Amino acid sequence: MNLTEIQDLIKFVAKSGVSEVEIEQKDFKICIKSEVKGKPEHQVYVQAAAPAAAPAPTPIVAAPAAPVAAAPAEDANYIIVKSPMIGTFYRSAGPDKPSFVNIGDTIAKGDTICIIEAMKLFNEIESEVAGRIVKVLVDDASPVEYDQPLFLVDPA
Amino acid sequence: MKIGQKIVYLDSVDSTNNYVAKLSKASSIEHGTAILADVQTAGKGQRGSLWQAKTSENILLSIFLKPDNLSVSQQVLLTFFAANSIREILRKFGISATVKWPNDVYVGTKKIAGILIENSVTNQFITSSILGIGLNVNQLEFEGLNATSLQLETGVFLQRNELLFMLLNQLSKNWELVLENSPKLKEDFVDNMFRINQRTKFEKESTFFYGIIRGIDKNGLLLIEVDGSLISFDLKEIKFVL
Repeated sequence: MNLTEIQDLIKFVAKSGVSEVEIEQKDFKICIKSEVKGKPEHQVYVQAAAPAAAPAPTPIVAAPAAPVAAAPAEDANYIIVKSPMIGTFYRSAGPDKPSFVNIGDTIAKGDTICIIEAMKLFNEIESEVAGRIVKVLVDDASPVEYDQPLFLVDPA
Repeated sequence: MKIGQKIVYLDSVDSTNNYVAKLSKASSIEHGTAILADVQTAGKGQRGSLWQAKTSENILLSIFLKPDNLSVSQQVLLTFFAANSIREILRKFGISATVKWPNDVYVGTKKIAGILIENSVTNQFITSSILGIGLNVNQLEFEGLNATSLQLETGVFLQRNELLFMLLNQLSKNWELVLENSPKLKEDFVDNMFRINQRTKFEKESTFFYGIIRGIDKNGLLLIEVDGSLISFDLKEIKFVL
C-alpha cells in the first residue's frame, strides 16, 4: 500500500464510521481509531513494525501412516464420536496436510478431529471428549450420514 | 461489534482465512473483524486449490463471525448471507449477478466472486465461522479463466476501499437476518440462482441430462426438475454443462 492509498484510506475511514483500522506493512504499522459517536476525531498512530506480526505457518509434520486393521476389538467403554451432519469426511485440512488425529493420539476437548464438508461449507469438528483415538471408522474423503460413527475414543 | 468495525490490512500473509483461524484459536479476535491482505502467498480455494487473483486489484478478505445459537443444520444460512450481500453490492453498480450453487457469484456465465466458509463446530453448533470472500474489482486479464470483474462490467476503475466499506455495511445489515433466522435469506438466494427455472444441461457420471433448477432443499442440495419430478442432487454428483 503506498502513501496516497493510505491517505485515501484515512479519508474513507473518516466518512465510513468504521471505528478501527490497522495497516500492517513490512516496515511500519498504522492504527487509525475514530470516535464512533459524535464528531469523528481521528487519531493516527504510526509505529515501527512489530516483528513477526503474522503468525508463522504451522510446520508440516509427516504423519505416521495409520495402521489399517490393527485396532482392538470394540469395547463397550469406548466413546463413539458421531457425525453432527451429512457431508464428506476429511481427516486433514488439505490433501498435502497431516491428519488431525491418528490412532493412538491423545486428544483433548476442543481439539479439531476432522473436517466435514457439505455444499462447500467446511466444518472443523471439535472433540467433545478427551481421550485416546482407538479407531478411525471412516476413510478420508468418504461421504458420511448424520450420526454416523466416525471415531472410537478411549476416554481419559 | 458490528461487522467491519475493525479492519486489519496486512502487507502479506499466507491466506487471510488461515490468519483469522490462528487468531481465533488464540481467542484474540472479535466478531466482525475483517482482515485484508495485499498479497496472499497461498490464497485458499477449496481444500488447497489456489485462488487465482491479482490481489492488489481485487478484494480478498476474511471476516471472523461468531453466530449466536446457529446449529450446523442451518449452516447454509451463512452461504445465503454472504452470496446475497455480494450480489446486492453488485446491483448498486448496475450489475445483475446470480449465484451458481453453492458458492460462486456469476455475471452471465463468468465468475466475479467466490466464497469460502470455514466453521468450527462443537456439540452440533457453529461456535465460529470464517467467511472468506474474493471479489474481482479491477482485474482486466484472467488468462483464459472464465472470469470477469467490476471494472470489466462497468467500464470504470473502482476504488477498492469504497467498495470494501459498502460490502462490509451490507454484510453487517444482512447479519441481522442470520440472527433472526429470516426466511428472506433463502428466498433472495433462490430467486437469484444461476439458471433458476431455465432448462439446463447437466452431467452425471459421464452421461448428460436436461433439467430445470427449482431451488434448494432443506439440506442445501440442489433441486432439479427432471421429467416432471423434483430430485435433490449433491454437488459431487453433477456438473453444469455450460
